[in-house]
Amino acid sequence: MRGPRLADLRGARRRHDPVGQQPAAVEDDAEPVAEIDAPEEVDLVFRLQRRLAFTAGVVFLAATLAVPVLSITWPTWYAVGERGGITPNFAAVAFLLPTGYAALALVFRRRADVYEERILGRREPHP
Amino acid sequence: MTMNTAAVVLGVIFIIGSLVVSLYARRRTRTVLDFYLAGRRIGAFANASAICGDYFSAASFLGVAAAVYVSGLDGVWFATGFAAGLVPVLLFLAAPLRRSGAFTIPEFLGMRFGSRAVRLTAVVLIQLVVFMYLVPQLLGLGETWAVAIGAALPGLTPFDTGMLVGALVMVAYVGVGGMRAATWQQIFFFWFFFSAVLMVVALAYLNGFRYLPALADLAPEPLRTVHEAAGEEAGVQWQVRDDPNRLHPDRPARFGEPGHRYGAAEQVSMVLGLALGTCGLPHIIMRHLTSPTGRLARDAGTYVVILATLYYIPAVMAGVAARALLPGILSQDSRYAPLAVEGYLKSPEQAVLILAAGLGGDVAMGFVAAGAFAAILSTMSGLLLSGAAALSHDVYAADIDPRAPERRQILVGRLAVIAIGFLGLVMGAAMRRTGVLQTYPSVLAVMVSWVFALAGAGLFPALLAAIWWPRATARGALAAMLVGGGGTLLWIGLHAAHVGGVISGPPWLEALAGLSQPSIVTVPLAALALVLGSLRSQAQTAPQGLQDLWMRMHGTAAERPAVRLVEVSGVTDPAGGEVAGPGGG
Repeated sequence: MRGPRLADLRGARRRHDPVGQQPAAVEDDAEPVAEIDAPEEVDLVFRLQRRLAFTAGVVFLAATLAVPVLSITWPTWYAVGERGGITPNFAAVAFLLPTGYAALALVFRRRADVYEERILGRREPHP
Repeated sequence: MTMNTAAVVLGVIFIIGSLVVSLYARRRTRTVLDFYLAGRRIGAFANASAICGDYFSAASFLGVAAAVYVSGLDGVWFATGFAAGLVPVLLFLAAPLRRSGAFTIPEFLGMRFGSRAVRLTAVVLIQLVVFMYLVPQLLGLGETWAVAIGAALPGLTPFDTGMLVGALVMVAYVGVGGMRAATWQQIFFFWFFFSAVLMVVALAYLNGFRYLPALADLAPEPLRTVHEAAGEEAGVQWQVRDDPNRLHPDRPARFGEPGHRYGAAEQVSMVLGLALGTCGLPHIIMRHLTSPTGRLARDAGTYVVILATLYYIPAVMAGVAARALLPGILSQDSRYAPLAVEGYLKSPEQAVLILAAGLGGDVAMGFVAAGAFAAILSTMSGLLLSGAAALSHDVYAADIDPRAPERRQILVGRLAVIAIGFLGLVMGAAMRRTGVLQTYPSVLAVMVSWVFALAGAGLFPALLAAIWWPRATARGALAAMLVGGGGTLLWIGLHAAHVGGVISGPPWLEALAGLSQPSIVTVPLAALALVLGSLRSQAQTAPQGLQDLWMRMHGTAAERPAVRLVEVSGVTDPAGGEVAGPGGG
């Protein structure tokens, strides 16, 4: 999953008007400031998050559904020899897919957090 | 089977402990937000543990091991499919839904689409999901009680007694303590039954079991199961039969190959249903809403996926260990003779219990039985709460008496908990008497997979579009829920009638009704209905407040003060327990 570069995101954030929504007053050193989400920034985050979520979703569904499809079509994938052994099919269902889900979740969380941190929460002098 | 002292002692401790915790939680439950969402103060790791307690039910504890024991690779799919279902919740729903400020799925959908019809349709679907999920939990409770405790109230069988006691305890627990009590219980119960699964695997290893060599040895083994044989003699006759391979009919059904349980279309359909169904499970979604912020909801969702991976791998191991070791255990101990035929259990749900008893004695079995109780009770608490929330918050408070004070809303919620518990009990007892439980091997897991199919087709498309597709409209959402939910129910009914021999017809109808998993058809149909319905109603005025909702769902301004409070309060790891958050609602 490759998203936009973070430097580009910072640039995109600077381009928007400072029209805030629900400013949150915070103390930044001595000067009170407000954290602002502009509608354009929220829209940008929405689009990035949607792309991230659906890309991850496609990877997830493709990997998950590939296993039963291969179970139907490819004997090397599913057939057990007379002497036994673990087939790629069994290994995928019992180990690889669950482990892959955990890895996907960690990557997704990190990227989603980064988008929000870098784009939202601009600090302005408190009105 | 005789009464298991360890199971009885642990069961009594659970019941008394639960009631004490519930009374304590009641003192901290003053508002509707407290009752349904624990004040939205549950930290990420604590919430992740509670979500696991809520999610991993009788199907995950007894059902997965039973499915692996009976069906080999096809049974493993239950574990992997249940774990898979948690991924879309994280990707698509967790953070935006929490940020929306909604209490429940119907409230969110009603708010997003500005439609009472959408909200009420979601309430109906959620009640169906709750009941269809509650009944297998009660049946699992009865099964575990009958095997591990065996005691019966006057006039009742041990099975019915188990269902009755469990239902009464959970209705009292949830009704009194609300979500806060449910959270504490679910956290404790998750780690308890996780340790029970690990104990079974450890016992198997201590008795010479080795997972990978056992898998390799079992893989070519033909799958055989116990069936009721038709006979004229009095009493039920049992026989063991080689099962056919439904996926590749030219090959025998083997432990290490797919095809014991599902044919080609069902393989894909079942996986699709499990993968998407969790997104529509109201008790799991509600748990994410207890997070203080959207970001912590995302953190909780991530931890849940990791915990699920860690849980299901040993759960599958337990099923494999049962397949490898039970024939020896059953042949050596005459106490188990009535439970098995030719080394195969009549009721696969008992596999883990008997395995624990055979490897670690009655204490180990008691521990596992208590773990099964824990898994079942913690899921029941979530189901009761989510069902009650939909009735009291989305019907009573939204339509019948919008000005009702919070105390009355909580009272209605408690009455709804009682009503849902009672109806679930009646339905469970009725199913027990119809003999439907003997229709499928490991029927609990099958019933739960149908719940996933209903939730996945009935609710997930509408939820997904509500969050990520600005052009989705109320008409589209309504069409998706009716087509997805109604189609799934129709299909399940058709299939049940087909299996029961009630209907017969032309070959195409037989083939259609023979498919036990409808998601491969119902999910795309629901998505199509949503798109067509939305595109044909673009002229509708956007609901009032949609822009604000959109800013809340996809922005972080509203939750930043809560995040800062966590930072300022010195809780560098908010996952550690309860943290303060915006009351939002």
